[in-house]
Amino acid sequence: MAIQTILVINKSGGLVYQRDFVPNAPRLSSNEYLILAGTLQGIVAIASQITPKSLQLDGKSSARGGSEPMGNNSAPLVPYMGTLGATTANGAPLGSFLGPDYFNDAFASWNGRGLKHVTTDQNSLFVYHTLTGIKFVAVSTQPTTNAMAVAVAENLLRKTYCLYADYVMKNPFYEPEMPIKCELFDQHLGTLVKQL
Amino acid sequence: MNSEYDYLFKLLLIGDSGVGKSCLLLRFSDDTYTNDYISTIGVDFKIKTVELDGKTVKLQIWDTAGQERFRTITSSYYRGAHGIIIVYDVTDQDSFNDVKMWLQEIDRYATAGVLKLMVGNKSDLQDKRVVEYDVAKEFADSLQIPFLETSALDSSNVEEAFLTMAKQIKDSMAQQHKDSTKKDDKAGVNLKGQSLSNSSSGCC
Amino acid sequence: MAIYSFWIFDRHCNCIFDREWTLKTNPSSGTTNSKLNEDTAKLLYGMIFSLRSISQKLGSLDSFNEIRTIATAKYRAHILCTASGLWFVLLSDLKQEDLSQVLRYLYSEIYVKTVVYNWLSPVDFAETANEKRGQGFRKIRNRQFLLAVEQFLGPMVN
Repeated sequence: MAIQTILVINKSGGLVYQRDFVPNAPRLSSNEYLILAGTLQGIVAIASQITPKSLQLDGKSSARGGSEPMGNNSAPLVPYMGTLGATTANGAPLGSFLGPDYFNDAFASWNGRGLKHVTTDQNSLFVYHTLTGIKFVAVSTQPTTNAMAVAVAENLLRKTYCLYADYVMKNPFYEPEMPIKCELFDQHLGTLVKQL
Repeated sequence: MNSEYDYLFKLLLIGDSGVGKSCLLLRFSDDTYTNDYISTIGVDFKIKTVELDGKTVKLQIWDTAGQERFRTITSSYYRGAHGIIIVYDVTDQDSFNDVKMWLQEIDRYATAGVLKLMVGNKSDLQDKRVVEYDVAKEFADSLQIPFLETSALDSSNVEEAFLTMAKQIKDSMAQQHKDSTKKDDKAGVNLKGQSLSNSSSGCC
Repeated sequence: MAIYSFWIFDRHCNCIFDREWTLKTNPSSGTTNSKLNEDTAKLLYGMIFSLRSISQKLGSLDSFNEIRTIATAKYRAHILCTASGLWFVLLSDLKQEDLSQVLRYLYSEIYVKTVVYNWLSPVDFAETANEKRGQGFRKIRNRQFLLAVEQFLGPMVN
């Protein structure tokens, strides 16, 4: 399984980053990618709205009973999978705020209701939500519903989020919510995907 | 791919269903094809690429559906919009009355200080007109929202209004930048000093 | 194993069958062909429709890139698109990774045998031009089909 494309969609549904990683990736125009990103934003909202009634009823009854803390319900844990990107090629730690160990634990997924994962005949599409509403999307070249593959992809996207925090948000010339043009982010994301 | 544009602005079109929102911008966007998303996920997209001060700016216009069943979903589309255009139909009093309701929606869901524009559509149908220009103009003035009337036959003034809006957004961003550098000046840190001297030496 | 609902859409974007189980513990709970589900059906259709058009763009041009599953944090939708333009959609919990076999059975063993082979059942559920533009209201009310679906999916509900 290889990563075909990684997209970063800001909280208002605008595409701020798009990069292909395989040579034969389909060539879409930037406008088509913008529409794709906006459409995904809409789908995320719809997917959470059509949650089956039995789940909605379930959620209510458990909230009333108080047997299960709501925190558990809204932020399920994603297990840590694989060693990818624990350190970059030259040994520098990723995710400066907590060091490399940070990546060896399971983490909470902030995506409690929305779209997470789509498979088609040829691709899988994984979505990682941040608490601030940014969506990191990866498209891979093989369909898989395997729970482990999904967890690996989520780990990859979370690391992308850390790279974003380190090299985009800390870049003084970056304008929030606008297209990302940061060489360091490009470089590190390249190494991260290559390690997979 | 990403270097194709420097800025991405989000503009939102709202208004009752049937006021002709989608027709307003048919010739304005880059691509002439229309995809029929609007009836399925409540939003359709039109994209216009413009040059402003030497920067490539993409205007992504979110054309939302007025139908009730999308109400909760469209509210999520307000998020982070830079400009919002409220459209009504000059031949339909209800659609004008609903403008107030749409303004409330904006207050509730959109960012404070978002740019607004009110547009009366179908102004070519003079004999069927029920909302007078003066009435609408007065209403818009009282709220300090720019207002214009247009029709699908000639929507060039809407397109102009869009470009003006884009400029305003761009300027307000530049203004924010200036403000922040001013603050830095006060604190005694001159971030620009180095690059300025560099550029002046490099130009000859 | 848990299944939450089952939907069929025809090629005119109309929902021609829906069955939702509202209580996980009780396979006979819930509604069939309910008016209440109309908006949900439209939203579900819209989500699949737009994801399909995305997948078509992302895949290679020379072959179909049909959508199979959509997962959120709470449920998973399994989709089977038939050659005749029907969509069979099954909503299940996240533990079910692939229900394409179940969908295939629902189509070829139940739908084809009780609806398609049934002379009294219409070939096309949309009759007027309006209904063909997605405003259809006709549903599958064939008793044999309803029974077969209930018998097949009922045991899987909880």
